[in-house]
Amino acid sequence: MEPLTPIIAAASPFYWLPFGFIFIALFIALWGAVREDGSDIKKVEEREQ
Amino acid sequence: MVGTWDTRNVVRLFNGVGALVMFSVVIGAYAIQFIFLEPPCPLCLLIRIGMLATGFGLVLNALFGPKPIHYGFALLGAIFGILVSLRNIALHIVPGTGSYGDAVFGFHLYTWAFLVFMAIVIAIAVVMFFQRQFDEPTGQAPRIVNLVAVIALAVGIFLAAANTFTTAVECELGPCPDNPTRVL
Repeated sequence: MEPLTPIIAAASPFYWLPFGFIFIALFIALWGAVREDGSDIKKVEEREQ
Repeated sequence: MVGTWDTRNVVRLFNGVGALVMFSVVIGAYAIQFIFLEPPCPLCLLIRIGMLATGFGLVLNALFGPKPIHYGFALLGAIFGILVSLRNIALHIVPGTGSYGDAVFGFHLYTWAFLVFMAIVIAIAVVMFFQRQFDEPTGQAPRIVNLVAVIALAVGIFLAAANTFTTAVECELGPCPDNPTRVL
């Protein structure tokens, strides 16, 4: 466990970064969801044709 | 239109609810931070990252339909959270070494976090038994499925943005204090 301590301490100034990454990733997901709106229905319709 | 309750849509709803559960744990941590004025320790922040990462994978399943890559991301987030919360438990496991924060229903928050992460890993493993969730959609999803997915996405975006801000403020873009005293 002890070798981990300096690594965790050295990384701690950047702990806000992963939150930022997740925020951006969720925003991209939002963009994708808006773009794909109704795609399930389209897939079903295409298959039925 | 009522929508089709096929395996895919049931699992999408389950993933949306699972994401909301993960996010509600972070909301609970925020409540303790601001109501009881207990700022999060550095490892507690890493646990929150694990919670949000797990919730992110589950939100993707709820929004776009179940895919192995989404489950993979959720599992990586949960395993990261398990490792961090186990380290946090280990730091205080020896009698007389104290603890961080107050206990909630008898357990400290990092112990609860470990249990939640273990529960979500087991839940994902069980849900992945249902192979037909990966089939093509058979009809329009019931409205509740999309509603829960969008609510979970909105809550996730809010929590990720809020944590980016409060973490940067708490640590002042320097090393996060081991025993923080300021909430914001």
